[in-house]
Amino acid sequence: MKRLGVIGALGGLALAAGAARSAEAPPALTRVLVAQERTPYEGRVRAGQSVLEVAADGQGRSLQRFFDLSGRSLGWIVSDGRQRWHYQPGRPWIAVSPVEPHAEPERRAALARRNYRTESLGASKLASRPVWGLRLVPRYPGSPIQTIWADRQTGFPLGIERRAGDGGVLDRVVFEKVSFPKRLPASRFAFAAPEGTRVEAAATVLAQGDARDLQPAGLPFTAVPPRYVPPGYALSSWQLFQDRGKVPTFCWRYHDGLAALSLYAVSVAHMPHAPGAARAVKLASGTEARWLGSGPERTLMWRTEHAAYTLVGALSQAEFLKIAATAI
Amino acid sequence: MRENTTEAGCGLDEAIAALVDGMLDARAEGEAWRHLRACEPCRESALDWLAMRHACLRVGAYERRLPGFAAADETWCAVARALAREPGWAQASGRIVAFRARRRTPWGWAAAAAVVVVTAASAGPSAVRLASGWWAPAAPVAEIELYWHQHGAYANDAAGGGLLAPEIRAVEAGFQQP
Repeated sequence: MKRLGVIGALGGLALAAGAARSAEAPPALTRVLVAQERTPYEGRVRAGQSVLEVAADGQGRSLQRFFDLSGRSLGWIVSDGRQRWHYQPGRPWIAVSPVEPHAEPERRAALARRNYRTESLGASKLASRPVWGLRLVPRYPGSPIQTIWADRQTGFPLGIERRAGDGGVLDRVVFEKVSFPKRLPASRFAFAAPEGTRVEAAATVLAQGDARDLQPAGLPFTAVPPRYVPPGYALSSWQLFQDRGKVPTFCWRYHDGLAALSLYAVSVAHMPHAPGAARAVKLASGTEARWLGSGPERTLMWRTEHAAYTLVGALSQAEFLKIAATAI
Repeated sequence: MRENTTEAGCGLDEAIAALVDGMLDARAEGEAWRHLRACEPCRESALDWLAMRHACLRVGAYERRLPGFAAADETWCAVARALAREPGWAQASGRIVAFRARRRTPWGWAAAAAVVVVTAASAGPSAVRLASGWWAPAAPVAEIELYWHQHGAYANDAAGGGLLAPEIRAVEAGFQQP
């Protein structure tokens, strides 16, 4: 019932959009991305099958407590801007991982403006606050269409929805309740480790760099980056890490200003098991691959003579296959 | 043929072996669980068998090109969680090595050494590596759940710490495997 309410509210937003269009100038994309990063906020969010209690101080600290629809705790994530701690009930450890370096919002906005066309959806209301709707339509095929409902007073995004090129909803994150305090004390982001748990690194970073840095030589396997990268996406960073099983893994991160794409490579012997729901597809070369179109993110897995690759992102299957065909 | 014995000698060996195989009815399973929670040696023994079973299933699925499955889908993980243990592959691997070492007799070690020498002499070092599978575990595989979590975290951080669906869905996937 609650779910229908949220969907109904979003439908109402879409209908109201046309009526109120052009009554007032919509917030610029830069303002939205800056507000997302630098505005202190706290509130309750609905996303998929989860409800979250969230808070951020606008300076890097954030807190997210996850619950399912029946109110059962699914754990929490706390970040101080440099490290993030993730606890999941039933696990005797809290996974800690470094926050990866990323571009300033102004730079991301510039990249996004090159890759997306902005359409104003006009004024409406969300979480009892007036919002502006912005639709971001990719200039290149394959990327999802994003709709952002931004708070009119602060520019902060109170709702984000991604739709595939065929119109199907990929995911939707909507604030049900929000407030914007002037500041949030550090104590708001403190956490107590549940009894019997220990803090453990989710992965150990051995080397990392951005697009300007040379990738390290002497890997225990040959990992070749793809020759084809979807238009609009740029290499943002790379990382060499070991997971908890000591598996050496190389990862490339790509970004188009709004969406991320990650490519992981390990030696063939360490290839991860494909999820049960993944189905077999063939690359142009005839190489067999496994495709998961409806997981946490779309995922394609394949292997070559030297390495096993896993690509994660929200692009279309056609784009995934094109990338994979050039990382052989 | 598997030995249905635990190292504790509590008289519940058959019940624990059947529990590992998922062959107990609800009442008997409840009794076995109560015993496992109270008895450390039996708990260790049950976890050893579960780790072995988990390894066999994974290798079997890989060799027969069956759809893979995550550790979180396996009984090993569920039981290890219930017993407040770490369900990671690394721990399972370590447990298997220790388990095999404990169970091997001096004659068993001699036989293993003989296999190494004969295999190396006849077929070279790579064959030794292949044959070693019967006393050492296979290489650990990477976990796709880590990729989803990392990607979600990156997408989130790269958006300035705002809340994005990929990270939320990765957390949900920890509870509802796709």
